[in-house]
Amino acid sequence: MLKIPQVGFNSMLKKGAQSFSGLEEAVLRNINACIELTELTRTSLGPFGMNKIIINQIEKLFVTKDASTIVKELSVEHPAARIIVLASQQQDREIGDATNFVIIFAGELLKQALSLFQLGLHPNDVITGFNDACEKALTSLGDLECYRLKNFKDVDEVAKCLKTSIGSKQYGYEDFLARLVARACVDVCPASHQRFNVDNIRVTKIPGGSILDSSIVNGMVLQRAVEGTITHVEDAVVAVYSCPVDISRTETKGTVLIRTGKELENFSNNEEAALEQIIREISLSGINVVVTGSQIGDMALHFCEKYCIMVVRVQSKFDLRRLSNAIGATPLARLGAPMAEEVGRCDSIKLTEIGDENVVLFSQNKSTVVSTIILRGATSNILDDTERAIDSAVNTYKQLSRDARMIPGAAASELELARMVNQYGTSILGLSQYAVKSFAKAFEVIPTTLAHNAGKNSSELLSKMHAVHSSGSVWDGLDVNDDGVSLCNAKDVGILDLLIAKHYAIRLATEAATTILSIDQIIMARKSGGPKPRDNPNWDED
Amino acid sequence: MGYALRPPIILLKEGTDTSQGKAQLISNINACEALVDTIRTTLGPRGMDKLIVDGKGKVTISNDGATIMKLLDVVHPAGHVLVDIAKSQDAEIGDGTTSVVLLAGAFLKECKPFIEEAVHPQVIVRSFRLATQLALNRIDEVAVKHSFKDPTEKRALLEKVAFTSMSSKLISTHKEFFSKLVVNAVSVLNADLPLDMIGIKKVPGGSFESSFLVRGVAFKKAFSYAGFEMAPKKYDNPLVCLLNIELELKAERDNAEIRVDNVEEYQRIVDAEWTILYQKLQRIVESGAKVVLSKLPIGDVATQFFADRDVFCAGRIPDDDMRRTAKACSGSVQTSVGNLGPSLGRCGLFEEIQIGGERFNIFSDCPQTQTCTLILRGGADQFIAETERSLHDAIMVVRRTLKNEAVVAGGGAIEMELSRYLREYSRTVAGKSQMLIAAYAKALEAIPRQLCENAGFDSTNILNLLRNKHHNGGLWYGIDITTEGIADNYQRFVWEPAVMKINVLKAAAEAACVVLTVDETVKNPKCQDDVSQQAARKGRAGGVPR
Repeated sequence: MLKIPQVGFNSMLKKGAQSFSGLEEAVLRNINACIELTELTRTSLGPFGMNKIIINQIEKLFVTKDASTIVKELSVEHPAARIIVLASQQQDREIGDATNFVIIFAGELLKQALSLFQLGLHPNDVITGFNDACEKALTSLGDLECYRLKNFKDVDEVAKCLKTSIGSKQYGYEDFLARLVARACVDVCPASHQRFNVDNIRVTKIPGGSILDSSIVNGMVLQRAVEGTITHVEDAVVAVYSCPVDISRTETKGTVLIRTGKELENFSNNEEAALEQIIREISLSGINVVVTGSQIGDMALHFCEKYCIMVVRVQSKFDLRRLSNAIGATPLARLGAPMAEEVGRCDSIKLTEIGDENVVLFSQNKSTVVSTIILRGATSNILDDTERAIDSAVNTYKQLSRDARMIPGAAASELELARMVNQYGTSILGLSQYAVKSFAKAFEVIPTTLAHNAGKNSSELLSKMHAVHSSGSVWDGLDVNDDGVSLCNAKDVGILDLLIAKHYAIRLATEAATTILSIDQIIMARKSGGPKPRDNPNWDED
Repeated sequence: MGYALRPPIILLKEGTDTSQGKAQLISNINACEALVDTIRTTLGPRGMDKLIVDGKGKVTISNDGATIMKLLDVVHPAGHVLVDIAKSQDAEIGDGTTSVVLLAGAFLKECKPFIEEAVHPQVIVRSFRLATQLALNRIDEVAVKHSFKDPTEKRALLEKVAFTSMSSKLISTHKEFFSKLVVNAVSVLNADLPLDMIGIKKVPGGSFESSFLVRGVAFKKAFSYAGFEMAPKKYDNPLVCLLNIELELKAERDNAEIRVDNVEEYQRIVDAEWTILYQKLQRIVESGAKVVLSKLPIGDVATQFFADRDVFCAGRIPDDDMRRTAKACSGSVQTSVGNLGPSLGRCGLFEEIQIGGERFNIFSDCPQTQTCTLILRGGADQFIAETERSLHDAIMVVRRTLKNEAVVAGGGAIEMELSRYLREYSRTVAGKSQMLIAAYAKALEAIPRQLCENAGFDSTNILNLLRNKHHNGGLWYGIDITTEGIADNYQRFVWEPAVMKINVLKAAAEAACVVLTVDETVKNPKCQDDVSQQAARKGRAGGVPR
């Protein structure tokens, strides 16, 4: 037998590199990895979903069922599974909600693709079919609209729209939290609601009490005490300084030259007098509260006390900017009396104790630019998780201001989409028909998972839902509260999902799935040596 | 490569630990139960103390749930939840920290059979939240609201509340004495009741009864320079000057440089330094102040200067003592001696006295004091430390009662009442929640049961008696710890603030619900482990997938 030297693909690569190719080695492996990932987050879907405890690399503990947080903290290694993770993070950034839908739906699409491959379809047939079906699903999504938010300033109406988003994360508190978030959003929403900024809703977490003790403040809350002894000012006129409030110092290293004894004697007196002069001028311009983003010197504090000026220090420069925004002040980079238009106004600034933490409340009586939700809860994990639920609700409001259309939740719209895409599938010719029908079937994973998580019989539910949907009541979804398998009209009970969120989620999931399907070879270079760059845990997230 | 030879999929990092499902939930509950077991014996008047030696060899003896939980250094992720609620109870109310952990543990324990029988955790959570809401409403209904106009009656109420709080602590034998002390201390404060305006100073030696309250400020004598001995140690009605200035010969500024070209000028510079100091001292003395305190050091020149002029001085006073002194004497702390007149404070009596082995400066009889200091005496250090924690709890409870005057009867009475109420309610609902609310009701009995067990009573018998009494309308019947029986605890003045019980229920229920809704734990390897593992992996058979 002829001896041919082994010139495999691997010998072209550096030692230690791995390569996998072909349907079985690459595609199927990828699909299995992704399915494993989706199994992980599946149990967190919906109001009856379960929490996960995740301890990440820096030993931080998370208790959550927010899918984007789960996959982010899991540090997924597998390259294909990472694509799904990235898709869900994209959804988080774009919409801020429905992240779990992306993961589960993408996973289910891949699962469906698996059986198509077993039938002998080529990946390309599957991809075209999926893309085709995706377009169809997205166009039919518009027909599902069942509600449209009309008045962005009506707390009740807004709360109704936010309820579902919170209910899927903090089930049991959805009515209370939705109202809280709705009030906060409505308070800060500008006249043209398109310009609503999610950053204007702040959340302050203070352990103690329970979630139902949470409250809302028209303005900012700073989690620290005031500097001086003045703790309460009504009708405050505020000057904001980003520089230290102290005797001005030179940045360049210099020395003060003293030639005579007289000079030495007068030196500190002059310095004191100069500072007093500055503070007096500030006081004379009507200021009664000084906020600084940096230090305040003992001497400066002394004079502020003398002129009855309250002093607050803000450490984060982001907070300083938000605070300036909230009270309408311009941060000054130099110490001195501010101009009239640089001054901020606040109806009440007050130091209070919540739990055992000292907080300074900056509250406005009427309209406000920034609204703060003071969140209470028994443990820090509960607080963190509730904050995430609030975040997604605030994002929902933001998305509503872009597109106010809502579709029924409780898996009603998914089932209807499954029906619509399936009908479309039967109408087309060619091999992609199979892929389109599989795409339709993939939608059924949502009702199945919801039923499964709530401990109900999923096949019974599916058959029931198909029955009522084909008879025309397309807004009927799963009623999780009932003991048996029963349906409810999602629109009537107020389970409403954002249309735009579904739109992005379907598109992202399809894109992630088709990307993974189109890979036929994986080449992994050997990991280069040297330790990984250490993550900085104190990284400022803003 | 064949299908069977396919290397396994590595989804997560190597070393990642995942566990999922019902087994995980049960194991979390078991971990919490184990944690609860360690502190359950501290509950109640007959509870035992724990001695904890931490990593540095520091010994703590405590009966306070929050302190023990903090020192235990729990690493189990689910167990962390219990530590957190103990901390939050401590922050919010200050007392009832053992109860909250015990109750959360009892809730979980009662849930366990349901989980094992495959009831969905979210169903349990929903029923528990409902039950908690009902229980809170019931507390509101039955709590006795006092709104005393008469100060002596109000005092009696506060003393009783402090009394109950302390009866479960190390100092229970001296609770009459300390409850008066605590109520006196709190009644000095202003409407906001700031906790940091009650100073607690610990002086080893003497007995508990020699502890006392100073209506004003007391602090340990500061380090002093020569000349201090000559200064008088007692003043009647002195003016007090509070400073934030270093009274010493010192450089006026770090970066100042002096250039002189002749000897006379040099002498003048030296004189100028002295003049600056003397000017400051002179101004202080001229202001009429008899007692001078400073946050920063007061040097020996200044000390002697003051002593010569019949003025007491002390430097390096800690910040919180300084603020309390300012409050007590209604003065303010000055950073300049420019205009001292209006900033001076006044107190009725200043003296330096000997307490145990320490010299103490005491400001008392202040006209409008809103601050006070407790001087605690006692045998061992750990003893005093525990006394301080107990007093802190009692002070917090009294503060809460002042803000919200509703009280309920303790000694298991309110728990029994809630348990009865919920059990009767559960019979009116259908479905799974009937069983679950009944389980919640049963869990509430954990508190009276533990009280009995800690006292060595027959808990089954006593609980039976209590159930009977409550069923027949004996609203406030609870355990009588002195006679091993039951008694109307409201009549016996075992009173606790209602807010405390409300917070205990809320926090325990929330914690239990969090633990119940977790079905998976994923533990990523730590950063360092990660690196070393990668190195190990690389060392092993280069490049072959595992």
